[in-house]
Formats: sequence, C-alpha cells, structure tokens
Amino acid sequence: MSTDVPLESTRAFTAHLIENTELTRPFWEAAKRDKLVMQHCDKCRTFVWYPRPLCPNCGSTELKWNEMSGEGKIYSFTIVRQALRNPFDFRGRLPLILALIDLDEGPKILSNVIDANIERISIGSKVSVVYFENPEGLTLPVFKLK
Amino acid sequence: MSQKAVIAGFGESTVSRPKSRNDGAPMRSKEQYLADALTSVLKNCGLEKRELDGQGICVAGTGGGHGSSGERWSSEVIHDLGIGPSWLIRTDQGGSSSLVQLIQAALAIERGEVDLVLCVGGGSTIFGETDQTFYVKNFEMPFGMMGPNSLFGLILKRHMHKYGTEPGQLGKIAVTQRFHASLNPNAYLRKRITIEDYLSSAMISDPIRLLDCCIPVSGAACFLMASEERSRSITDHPIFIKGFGQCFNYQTGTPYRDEITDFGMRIAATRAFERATLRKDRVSFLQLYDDYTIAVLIQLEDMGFCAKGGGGKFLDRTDISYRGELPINTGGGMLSGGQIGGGFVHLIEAIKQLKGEAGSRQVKDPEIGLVTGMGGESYSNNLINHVAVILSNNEH
Repeated sequence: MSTDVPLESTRAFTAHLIENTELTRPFWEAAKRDKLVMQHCDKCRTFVWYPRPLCPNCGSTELKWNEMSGEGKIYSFTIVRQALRNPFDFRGRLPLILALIDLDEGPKILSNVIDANIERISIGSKVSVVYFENPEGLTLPVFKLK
Repeated sequence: MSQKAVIAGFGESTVSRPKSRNDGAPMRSKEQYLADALTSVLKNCGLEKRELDGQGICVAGTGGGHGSSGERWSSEVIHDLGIGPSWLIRTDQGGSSSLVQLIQAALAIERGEVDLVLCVGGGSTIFGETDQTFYVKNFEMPFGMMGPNSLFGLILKRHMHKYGTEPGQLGKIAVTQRFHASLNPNAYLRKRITIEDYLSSAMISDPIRLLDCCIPVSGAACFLMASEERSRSITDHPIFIKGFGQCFNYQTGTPYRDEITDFGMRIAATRAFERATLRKDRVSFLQLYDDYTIAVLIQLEDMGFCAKGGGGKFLDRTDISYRGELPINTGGGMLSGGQIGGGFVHLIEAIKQLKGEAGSRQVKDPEIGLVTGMGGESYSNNLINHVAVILSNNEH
C-alpha cells in the first residue's frame, strides 16, 4: 500500500527506470494515493492511454487527467514465467499474470491480475483495481477478480 | 517514370548466435556480417565495389539489438564498407524495414536518380539494446512486459479465445517451416521436429511455446535493386515488382475499438493486390513475416486466404510445404532460419525461389511470390508497421 515517500525519491525514479516528466508523473503520483487516472480529451470525448502530449484521436492539446472507476474486464492475458530484459525486480513474484484490461470507460490498460489462480482466470472476467507497491517503491494499479 | 526498377541480385552472410550458444561460431561484430553480405552480393551480381559509388544505399535498422537507436547508423555503415553513394536512406520499421527499402529504392530508380541501390541490413547479438520506447519503459515494463513474447502471448490467447484456434494448428507451421529449414544450408535450426516436439516444448509466455518463437541470430543480408536496363548486364533473371502496399499505425482513429487479433496487413495486402491487378490464387508461394507462428496464421486470415478466424482450420486442410498447394516460408522463415533484423529472410527466400535457385526446396515453376514484413510493437495492440510486396520473375 502507498506510503508518504515522495515519488521523486523512489528507486524507480532515481534509477531512471521511469522517466520523471510531466507526462509520466501524474499517473504514478495518483497511484501512490490509490487512484487510477488517465488523460481525457474533452474535445472528442475519449480517454487517452498511455499518456500523450496531444490527443491521438483529434489532435487537441487540451488533455485533462481524470480519475477512473477502476472497473473492467480481462481483454487478454499471458503468463510471465521469467524476467527477460526487464530492469524491474520480479523475484518472488513469478509466474505473474500480465493482462490487458478493458476498462468500463473504454480504454485498455496493460497491468497485472493478482491473487488469481492461473488455471481459473479467463478472458471476459470482471476485475477491479487494487494497488501494489513494487520493490522499486512504485505503486502499481493492478487488478483483482471480482 | 523514366525507368523500371527490378531486383538484380542478393547476398547474405552465414548466421550464428555467438553470444549465448556454443555453436562453434566465432564472436563476430555487425561490421563483419555486413561486409560478408556485401562481398556475397558483389559476387552474386558480378560487380566491383566501386560501381556502387555515386549510386544509392539503403541501410536497415539501427546497428544494435532490437529497440536500440543509432542516430548515425547509415553513415557508419557506408564509412565502414567504403562506399560513396549519392543517395542514402535508412529504414527503421523493424521487421518491415527490408520491404520499405525495396519500395524506397524502386522510387529512387524509377525517378532516374540512380541506376543501382544496394539495400542492406543486419546486426550482431553481441551488442545488446540500449534504449526503450517511451511507453514500454514507463508503462509496460513495471508490470512485467517481457518484450514481444508477452505481446504475442496476449495476441494468441485472445485469438484462441475468440476463434478456437488450437496449438496443433500452430504446430503445423513450426513443423513445416523446420522441414523447409532442413533443406536450407543457411538456416540456423535444421534438425527436423515433429508435432509432439512442438507440443512438448516449454511454455514461454502462455500460450506461446518455445517452438512458436523465432530465434534471433547474428547475420546480415542484402539485395541489389537496379534499373531494368542496368540489370541486363548483371542477371538474366531480374525480379519484377508487381505491387506493394504499406500500412502504418492502422489502429489509430478507432479509440477503444481496436482488436489485437486484427493486423494492418489486411490493408497492406489489399493495396498490394490492387496495385498488381492480380488475384490471390495466382500466387505461387507466400513468405510471411513469422516472429511467432500466430503471426503467420493471422496474416493468412487478414489477407483473405481464408475467412477471419478460420486460419486454424485452413491450416488443418492445407499443405503449406514447398510442394504443397500453398507453400509458406519455404526457407524455414525466421522460426527456423533465424531472425536477422529487418525481415530480410523472407525477401531473400522469395528472390531465390523466383530465380529458381532454391535447391532441394524449390517450388515448382513459381511465377508470383508474396512477401510480408511487420514490425514495431504498439501499446495494447499488435504491430505498428505492415508491408506487403508482390514479386514476379515475369514482367507481364
């Protein structure tokens, strides 16, 4: 769960595993406060994920960060069995479920499904967001079966 | 259009995996592989290196491993090889780079800017990647994204869920391509496998198995484009470009409705066949980009060789070997031949087949070949770049 450690001093940022920019910060800062946020384009009324400097749909530069419901369905998933050319520490966490989640508001997010039996999960299962702090001090919005 | 562009010849180095496997291959650098490919194409075409001066060069990739960037890579290559072109292009569309080269080179020749364009690419696994794309680094890796194995795990899982595609159907691709590789002296993996070998191979990123994956190798390849007139002194068997189609970032503009099991190859191939004014049943063979077996199956669907979702059953009933009704990846593809950056494997095999130089895996009297290339992993969808090219050994 989240702590009071400022984002800039977490290892993921100091080790430059994550870029510290206006585009990346809002998502990770919100996650520290147990919130899932995404950009929204008020002009064409679409959510934008991953973060962009302009709306990839209509080109508007007026993107606002919005809190999401955190509710969705599993769109697809795969099982990660070993770390491969990835600088984050996954020791003790493998195998893990890497999933694309279809959020109720529309956009898809790549995340994890946690505390689930690999044999039992399936595409279409309903999930809700929960928060997990990784070894690098980053709080990740991940998902649990409902 | 002042002159017609053709493929005059090709060259290739041997391939190896000097970093991670004790296959007896020496540690060699990308410069050495590129030099081997150049030497090979000069021999194939009966040219002196100096004849390339003042002509065109296309360099594929970035010089490092997948995902790396090298701002000056094309200049480094011509400096290393000692060639002074008047027309220099770099392509960095991943597995479609070689086909983008072919198109760019043809345009330069048809405009009359140059008579020859050497298209070259390759690399060595002794150099790792250096940098990652913005979204992979910041929003995928923290969740455990492990490169294309993960991406294609997501694609295959959904394809199986949506259409009932079965492992054995993908296994047929792996087994047939390995059979082809066993007949290809330059393929990296040449020991034949069975469907049981496929089914018992290790899970890499479920449902992707080890034998669903291509094998990255060190090596380089090239082909020489020429004006038709200039080609007459090089070869009696020029290869003609009947049509091409390109489609980049096709899923943009359809927020939330993009589908990970639909490839932009549908659009690229449609454009290629329209330009060629050819029907699909005229095609003698397919060389399809095969970073994973499921990529081959989805392309068959999206290019209309079978119904969408019917790829598995199509494979059940179709002989895709070099002597079958629809030969696919007749040199072993990248699954068995080895992946050299840029998708050269497929194009070189198509050239060999159309020139009648494919040895014991020669397709009987081929006239038309389709080659595809894909590259560039997207966020939450499949690949960004899709290119299809239709080639023929017959001008008409």
